[in-house]
Amino acid sequence: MTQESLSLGLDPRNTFDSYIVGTANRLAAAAAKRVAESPGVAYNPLFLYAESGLGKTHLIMAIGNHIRRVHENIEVVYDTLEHLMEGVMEAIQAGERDAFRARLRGASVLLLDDVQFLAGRRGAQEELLRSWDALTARGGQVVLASDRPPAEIDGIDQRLLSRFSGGLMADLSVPDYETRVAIARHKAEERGHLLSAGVAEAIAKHAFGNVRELQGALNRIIAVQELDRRPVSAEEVADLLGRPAEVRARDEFGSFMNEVVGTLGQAMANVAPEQRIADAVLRWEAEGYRTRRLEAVLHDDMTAESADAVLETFEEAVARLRQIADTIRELDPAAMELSRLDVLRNPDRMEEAESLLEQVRERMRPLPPPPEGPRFEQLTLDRELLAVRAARAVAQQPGDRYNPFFVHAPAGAGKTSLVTALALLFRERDRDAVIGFLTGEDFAAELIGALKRNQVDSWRARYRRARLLIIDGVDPLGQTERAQEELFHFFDNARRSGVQLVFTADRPPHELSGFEDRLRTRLESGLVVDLTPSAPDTAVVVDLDEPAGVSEVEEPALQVDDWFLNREKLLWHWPYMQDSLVQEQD
Amino acid sequence: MSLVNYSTREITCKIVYYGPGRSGKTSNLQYVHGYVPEERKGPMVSLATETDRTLFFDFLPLDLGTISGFRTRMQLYTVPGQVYYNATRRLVLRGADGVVFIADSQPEQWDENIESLRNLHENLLEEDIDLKTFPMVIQYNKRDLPGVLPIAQRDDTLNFRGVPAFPAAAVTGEGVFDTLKAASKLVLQSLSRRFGQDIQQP
Repeated sequence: MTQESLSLGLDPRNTFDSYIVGTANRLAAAAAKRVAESPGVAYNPLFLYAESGLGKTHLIMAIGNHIRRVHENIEVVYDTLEHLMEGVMEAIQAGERDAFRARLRGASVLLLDDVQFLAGRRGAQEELLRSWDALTARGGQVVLASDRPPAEIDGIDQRLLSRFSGGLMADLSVPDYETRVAIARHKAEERGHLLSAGVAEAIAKHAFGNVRELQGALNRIIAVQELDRRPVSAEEVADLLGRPAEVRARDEFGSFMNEVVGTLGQAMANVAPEQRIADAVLRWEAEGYRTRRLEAVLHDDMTAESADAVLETFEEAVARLRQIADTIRELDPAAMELSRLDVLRNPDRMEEAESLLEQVRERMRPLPPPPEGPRFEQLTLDRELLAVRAARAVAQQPGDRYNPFFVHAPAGAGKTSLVTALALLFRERDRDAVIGFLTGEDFAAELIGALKRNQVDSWRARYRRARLLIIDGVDPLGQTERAQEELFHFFDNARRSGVQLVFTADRPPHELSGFEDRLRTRLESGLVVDLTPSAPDTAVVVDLDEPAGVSEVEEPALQVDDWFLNREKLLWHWPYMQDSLVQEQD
Repeated sequence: MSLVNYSTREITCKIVYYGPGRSGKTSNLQYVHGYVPEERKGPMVSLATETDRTLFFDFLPLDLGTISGFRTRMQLYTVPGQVYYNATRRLVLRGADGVVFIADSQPEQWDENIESLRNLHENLLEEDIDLKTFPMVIQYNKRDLPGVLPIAQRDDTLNFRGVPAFPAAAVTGEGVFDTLKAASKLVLQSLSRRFGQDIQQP
């Protein structure tokens, strides 16, 4: 599939030369010309809107034709939204969606017509959003045409709305009398017909709601000329087309609108460069953006072009800041970073804004998930084992009973399977809960990576999103002081926010080498169980400070046996040693 | 009132139809109301007396859609023409961006036209408005009635500032939109000169 076949063809007749410019479309035509001459540089996106038949499609195609003629190496995709979405659906059915997307996003200029059909179509909006980001990230140009302004397209995604508003919106209105005369003459010439004196003027006196109606009227005149083999006179026009008074009401409002659009468009275009900068300062300040960069050039001698360049750079920066804020909001609607308006509204602090986004991305990166199995019912372990029953209880009532839950046994005893089953049961009970499942080596390696990227805070925040954190094989952390320190802080967080911590190791906490006492005691402070096949079914540490009213929850009947009494100790009031009664059993 | 609001990307213009009682101000608004598409207008509010004279004011909001990136609205008001409602006239005039003066073309109403125009000048001065630069158009209404004097003759006494003037017959709609177009154009041109000076901060 080529870019050509990906999109609809451009009608070669629709060029800037064949486009009649009047007050109703001057701004739109000028902007389109500028975009065609320098795609991706000025007015990106260019959003053209007008009611049906007022020349949107002509203008958008003129952009495409001009670019293809002047910039042969630039890939132009012109399409209507409906056709584009049909292409996406066909590609999906053919299993070629990715290839389709890649080709679409490979274009340098995307000309998309009839985007009003985005209304309420979330899939189409999502597809456009992705293509848009991919295209503009490479400096590509987007031009859109619609029968209404973006804000009036129902159910439009806010992210798209902000992107639409980031460039230039230009509307086209009903052509005025003079423009109608020029259009009538041009269209007649295009078809190789001559109109008698006054005929174009007589046609233009009729108040057409759009150019297509005018063309239809012209067709009627031409048809009479062709069939009767005689020129139509100006006096006959009224009879052939009906009296202008019949359509006066529509004409009056259309003409009034035309006046308003033309005057306002000219008012905007004629503003002096320094005034435009001043307006931009006021506009962006009103929207809460810092405008120091614009203020710095406010009193410089500027040409219209240099003012354009300054405004364009500034508006691009604002658009990027908005994009950053939108992305942060998407990733984490409650992100504290969204309150950093001193950065997110300041184009001079773009690097910091990018850094905020990176922070959020890092923080919201998914945690390593648990393996897909086995589940409890698939375990080959004896279900009556204390470790198995306790693991089930932890999954059913996480956070406040056996926290942390520490499973130890030599390699191959089934520790990983057991904590996997625990994680899967936990997920069954709360599908939205964030679970982190990783080895001690990975935990240390991730920390080192975050240190290198200077993103330890985000890394820490990322893991603190977990409602269940399982470190399978905690032993290697004995080799790294910093990872132990981070783990130590996790304990405090876990106690405050009810996060369940689960660890496995090939030996009990007191035998782990290289662990600081403050961490070792915390590892011991919940429930430590031995999964060694020959080990007595026993609990070694029991938190006796159980919360009231939990007896209805299924829990293992823990048996404190002789092994426990002989080998270990009891702790009360975790975690502060000075507040605990420690009873050593020799 | 705020003319341009950058924070909400809105332009709101207020045009007041001024003139003596029974000159046709309400008829102008009624005609406009009748020919503006439904989606572009709000309900026309008229507060009238039992004898159909405007007691307080007429109000017609027009939503012209988004033009050059700005949601553009026009608010058309009339004032009560009767001399004893001057307080209401001043209230309605407050914050106006332009005025359409509706003159009654009948010879016997000429003194009332002049009195109403003088009253307009007084009220604008009260609002510290510079008459030389304030957007204004004159409509010579009721041109369809017999015995009306030529406009050129009337212009000498009423339109000494040489503002745009239009003949009209508001009840049939003749000249109504021409007048509104001219007034809107002047208001929007005045707006362009005021860019950067009359901007409401959020």
